[in-house]
Amino acid sequence: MPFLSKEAEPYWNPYLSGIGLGLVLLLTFLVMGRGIGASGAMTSVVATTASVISPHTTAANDFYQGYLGDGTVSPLKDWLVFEVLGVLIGGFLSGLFAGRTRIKIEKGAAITTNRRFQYAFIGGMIMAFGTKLARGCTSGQALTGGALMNVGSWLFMISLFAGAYATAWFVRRLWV
Amino acid sequence: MKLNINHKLALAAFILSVSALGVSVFSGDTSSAKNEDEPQYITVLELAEQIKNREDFLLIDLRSLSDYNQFNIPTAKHLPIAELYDFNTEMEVQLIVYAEADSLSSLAFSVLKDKGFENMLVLKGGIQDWYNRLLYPKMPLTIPEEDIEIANHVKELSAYFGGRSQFVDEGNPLEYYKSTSSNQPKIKSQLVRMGC
Amino acid sequence: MNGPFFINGWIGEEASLIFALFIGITFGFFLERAGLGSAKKLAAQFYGTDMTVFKMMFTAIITAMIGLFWFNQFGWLNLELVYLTPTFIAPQIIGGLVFGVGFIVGGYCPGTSCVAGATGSLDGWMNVLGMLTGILVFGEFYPLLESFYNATPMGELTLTDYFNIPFGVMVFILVMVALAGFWASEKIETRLSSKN
Repeated sequence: MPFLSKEAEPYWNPYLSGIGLGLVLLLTFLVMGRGIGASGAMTSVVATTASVISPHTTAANDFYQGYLGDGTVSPLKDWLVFEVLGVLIGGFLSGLFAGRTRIKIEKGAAITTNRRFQYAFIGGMIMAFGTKLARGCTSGQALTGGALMNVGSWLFMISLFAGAYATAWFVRRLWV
Repeated sequence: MKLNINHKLALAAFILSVSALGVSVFSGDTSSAKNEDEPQYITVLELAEQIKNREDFLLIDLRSLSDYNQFNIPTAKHLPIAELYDFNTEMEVQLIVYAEADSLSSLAFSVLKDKGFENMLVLKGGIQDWYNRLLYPKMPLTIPEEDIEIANHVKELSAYFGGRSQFVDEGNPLEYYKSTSSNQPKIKSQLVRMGC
Repeated sequence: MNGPFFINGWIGEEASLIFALFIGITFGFFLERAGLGSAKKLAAQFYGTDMTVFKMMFTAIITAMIGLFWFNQFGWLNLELVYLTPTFIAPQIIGGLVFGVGFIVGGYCPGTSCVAGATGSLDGWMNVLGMLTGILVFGEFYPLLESFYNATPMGELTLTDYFNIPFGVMVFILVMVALAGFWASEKIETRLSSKN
């Protein structure tokens, strides 16, 4: 593979990448009448798994039911699930062309790999909880709702930055 | 002063948003992104009554053809929203539109209004409420004294359209027929679920 | 041209899934290009040394926002038909705070963890696993959380509705806020990186 041996290229200008992302979002609004998302696809996966393991409790749970529907189509045959599959492909290809797709662990210098894995896992759990409480993540709420001037999305976005800045100092050893 | 790429982008954003500001202010567009005429609603009970009495009106189903073929309200004609823009009939005809729930029919309401139709109603709660509240209505195990009349009315209409009442042990579902503001649509499977 | 194409019935459900894949690929591509597949770059946002997250996110927001305004203005897109997640004030503020804590502890958000995983970051995959677990925990405790989840509902509410100012004026204000934010970001970055 010629790509893998090459030096990692510098990242693109964040504003230009942002315009690209904004145009993708705009196209989604125009074609679909909805925005982009990420956490919804993960929820579909979880709801499907839960329904396989214990169909009775999931059937009584409104939260899962919202993702499972009435059972006439597979809950994994869903717009967001396909979109997130695309994200995996797009991220992989972009990284490959720029010499950045390789097995790695990203962490601050001061912590061990195990520690980093534990924090990545715990951070993911906390984040997922916040996402579900707020009905969306940085993609589904902040980006999509931000562009649509959705009041709830702007509140979410401001709280998100507040929460992260307030915590940053306490976990600085993870990163700096 | 030489502009770098970031400055040029910022300038472009500035120009586009200033013109947005100008357009909004000078065109006197006071409405926000949403400008809607509040539709006039008809409840499932009223509609059922009218169908039963063979009153004169045109019932329009705005959903997709496959949804329509699967299940529709008796006497309804299929007319997807995209064709509504070219739709024409005599102005005097009473139109009643319905869709899955309310949002699409509210749009149809404003489209038709723009075309000059005056006589039209939106079915409150759409096909969801028709199914869950008229064909298969829920009844409390013990019907309170003051609700017996309404319960009998609902049962009668449900039976007329070939449905059946179900008895449930949770609150008083008959409250729905007194005010139509709250409705919990049944969750339907679809490939494009909105929201995250 | 009359959008949204899907809601107006111009493209079918199956075709929309292919479109979803295409949108996902471009979405993932741009995230990776800007460096948002890197946990260190994402975390640096909250130590002031690299403001890429803020810059990219708000550029995307104002780009799409300006586009929406003009598409609506030219009649290409009916904004009333675009899905808006309903606002629930308390759970969305608390959810945002919790999300922020998880973000800085884990180093990713849901979309970027997928990009990180796809480019070979093992910690990205750990983060995805954590998220799946977190969603399961939320789902299992949902019956207890339900009342808070549905607390303080405001319905579909936009800033223009809330403040009752025209769409174009709101676009202008938010673009100006974003441009000021970009200017400040550049200052902060230069200051903090020259210190080290």
